[in-house]
Amino acid sequence: MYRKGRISKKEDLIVGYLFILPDTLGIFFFWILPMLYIIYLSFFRWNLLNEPVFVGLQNYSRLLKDPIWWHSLGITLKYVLMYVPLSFLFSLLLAVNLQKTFKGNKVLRTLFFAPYAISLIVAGALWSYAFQPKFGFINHLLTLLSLLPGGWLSSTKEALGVIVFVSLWKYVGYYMILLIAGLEEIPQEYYESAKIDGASWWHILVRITLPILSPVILFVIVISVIHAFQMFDLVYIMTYGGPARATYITMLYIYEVAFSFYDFGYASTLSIMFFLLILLITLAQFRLGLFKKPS
Amino acid sequence: MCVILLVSPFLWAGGAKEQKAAQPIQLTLWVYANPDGRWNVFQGFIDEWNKTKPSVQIKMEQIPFDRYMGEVLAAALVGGRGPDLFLLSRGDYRKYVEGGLVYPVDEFLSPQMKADFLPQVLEAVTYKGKIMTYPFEMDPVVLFYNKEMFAKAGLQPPKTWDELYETAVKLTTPQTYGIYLAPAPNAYQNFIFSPFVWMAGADFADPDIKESRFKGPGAEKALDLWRRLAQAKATPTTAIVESLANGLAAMEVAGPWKIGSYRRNFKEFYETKMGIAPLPTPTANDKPITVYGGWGFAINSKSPHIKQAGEFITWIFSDPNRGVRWTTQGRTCLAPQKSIRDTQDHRAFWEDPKHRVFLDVMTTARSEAANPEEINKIIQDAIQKAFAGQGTISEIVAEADLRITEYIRTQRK
Repeated sequence: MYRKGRISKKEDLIVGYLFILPDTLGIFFFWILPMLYIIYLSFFRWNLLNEPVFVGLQNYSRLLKDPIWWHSLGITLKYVLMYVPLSFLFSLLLAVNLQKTFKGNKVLRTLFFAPYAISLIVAGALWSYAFQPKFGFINHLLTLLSLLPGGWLSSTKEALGVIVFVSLWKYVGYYMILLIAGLEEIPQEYYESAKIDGASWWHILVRITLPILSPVILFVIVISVIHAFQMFDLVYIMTYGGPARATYITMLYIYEVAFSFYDFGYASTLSIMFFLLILLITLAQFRLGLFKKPS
Repeated sequence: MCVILLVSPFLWAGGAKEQKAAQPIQLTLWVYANPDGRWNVFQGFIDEWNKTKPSVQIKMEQIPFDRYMGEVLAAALVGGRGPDLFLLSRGDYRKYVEGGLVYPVDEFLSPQMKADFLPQVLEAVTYKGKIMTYPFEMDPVVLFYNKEMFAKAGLQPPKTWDELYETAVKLTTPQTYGIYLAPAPNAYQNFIFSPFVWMAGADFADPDIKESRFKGPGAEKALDLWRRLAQAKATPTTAIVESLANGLAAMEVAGPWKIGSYRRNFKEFYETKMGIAPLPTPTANDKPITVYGGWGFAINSKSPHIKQAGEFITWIFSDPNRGVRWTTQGRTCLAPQKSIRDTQDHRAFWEDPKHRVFLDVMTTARSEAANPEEINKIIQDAIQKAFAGQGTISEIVAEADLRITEYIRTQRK
C-alpha cells in the first residue's frame, strides 16, 4: 500500500498485526487450542472408543500415587543431568577450537554437524547394531584394544549412557554451530587488549568469552534441556524403555498410556504435569540469570 | 417450448440419477504394511473382484505397522473417517470389539461356511455369541533350527525344557546365540512367551479378564527358563532381525510366516539348513501346547456399505485356489477353512516334510490371548526384570500377579 507522506501510527499497527496474524492463528489453532483441550480431557476417563466419563481430579490423584510416573521422571532427570552438561561442554570445546581459522576447520565443522542431518530413527537403528553385545563393532573394537566389552543396551547400568552418547553424537554439532556464530560476534579488540595485558587463555575464556557469549550459552542450555526432556525417538527405536525400564523416560510413558493403553484422560494429565515441570525449569534458568551479558 | 422448459429439470434429474446409479460403491480396506510381498498377492484378489463386480470397487491401503496398531486405525474409526474393512488380530481385538467399532460377520456366513472353519478358530473370534471377524490365517509357533549347526555339534532338536537349555548353551559361541526368543518388550514377546506359560500350567488372565492367572509354580517355571537362557547369554536381550537365517542364532521360536520370508530372502538357508520341530515341553510327560495367531477381516460398524463389505470378505476365500495362493505364496500360514486345507496344493505344501510340523502342532494349538495392553505390559516388565536379574523369580511373578490384580480391580470396573 503506497501513500504519499507518512504512514499513520494506527496504519503501522494494523500492518504489523496483519504480518503476525498467520503465525498467531497457527499458534492458536495448533498449540493453544489443543493445549486447552488436553487440560479439559485430563478431568475425564476416555479410551477413544466410548464416551468420555467425568472423573474430576481422579487422574491427578492417580498420578501422585503412580510409581511408573515417578520412575519415568527419575530416568528422565538422570538423562537430562547427564546430557545437558556434556552437550554444553563438548559443543563449547568444539566451538572455541573450530572457530579459529586453520586449514580444514570448515571440513571439521561439517563433519561434526553432519549427524544432525541424519534422522533420529536411522541413527537409533544404526547405533543399536553398533552396540549389539555379540557382533556390534563397538565391542569388536574394544576387544581388539584388549578392553572389556560392554552389555550396552542389554545392561540396565549402561543402556541410558548409550542413549546419552548417541544423543550427544547427534546434537553436539548443532550446538557447536550456534556457539560459533556467537563467538564470531565478539570483537577481536577485546582479545588483543587482553593479550597485551598478559591474560592467560583461562582468564580470556572466563572473563571475556563466556560472559559475552552468555546469551547464546543460555539459549543453547535452554534448548538442550528442552531437547532432553522431549527425548523419545531414540529410546523408542533403541530400547523401548528397557532393559527392565532402565531407559523408560516420561515421554515414552505418556505415549504408551495414550496409544497402547488408550487411556487418553490420564495421558492428558501426565502431559500437563510434564509440561509444567519443563516450563518451571525453563523459567528458573532465565530467572537465575546466571548468564547475564555484562554491560 | 414451454413444455420443454417445464420438463427439462426432470430430464436433468433423471440423467443425474442415472449418473449416480452408475457410480460404483468404493470400499476401502486398510491393512498393515509389510514389504515381504504378501499384499501383492492380495492385490491380485482385489483386482479379480474389481473386474467382476464393477458396481462395488475395493481399494486397499497399507499403513505402517506400528501406526496401524497404534493410533491411526482407532482414531480413524472413532472419528468416522475409518475404512469400511480392516484387519484385526486376535491379540488386538478386544478394545475394538468392546468399543462397538466392529460389525459382526455372522449374517454373511452361511451354515456351510461356518462348518468349513475349525471350531476353535471361530470360537476365538466370538464375542457375546457373535462372530466378530472373518479369520483367514493360522500361525502356530514352532521351534526353527539350523540343521547344519546341529549336525556339526552332534545334537538333536530338544524335546524338553532342560534339553532346550542345554542345547542352547552348547550352541552359543562368540558369534552365535543358542536360541532367539522374543527379546523386545512388545506384543510379540507376549505372543511367543504364552505357550511356555500355558505348558507350565499357568496363564496371564482368565478370558473375561476378571482375575490374574500369572502366578504360582507354572508362571515361575516359564519365566525361569527364559531367565536362565538370558543369564547364560544363550539368548539375546535386544532385537536382531532374522537372526536364524543370518547364522546369528542356532534356534528361533517363530511361526510359518518365516517360511515365506526365508523362501524369498534366504533361499540357501531355506533349502539346505532350515529345520522345524515342535516346541519342547517342560518335561517328557507334559502335554505340548503352542500358540497360534492370525489376522481376520473386520467390518467397520460405522461403514455405510456393510452389506457389500460382508459380501467381499466371504467372497475372497470362497474359491479355495485363492486360499491356496494366500497360504502358500502370500502370507505362508495355515488355512482355517477345511475347503482350502483339503486342496491338493495346500496339502502338498504343508504336508511337505519341510513344513509338516505346523500341521502336527495345530492339534494342540491355542489361540493367542486377547489381553488388554496393560496386562501385556506387566508381563513384558516381568520378562525384562527376569532378563536383568532384578529380584528372584518368585518375587517377579508375585509382583506381576499383584499388578495385574490391581489393574483389573481399578481399571476394569
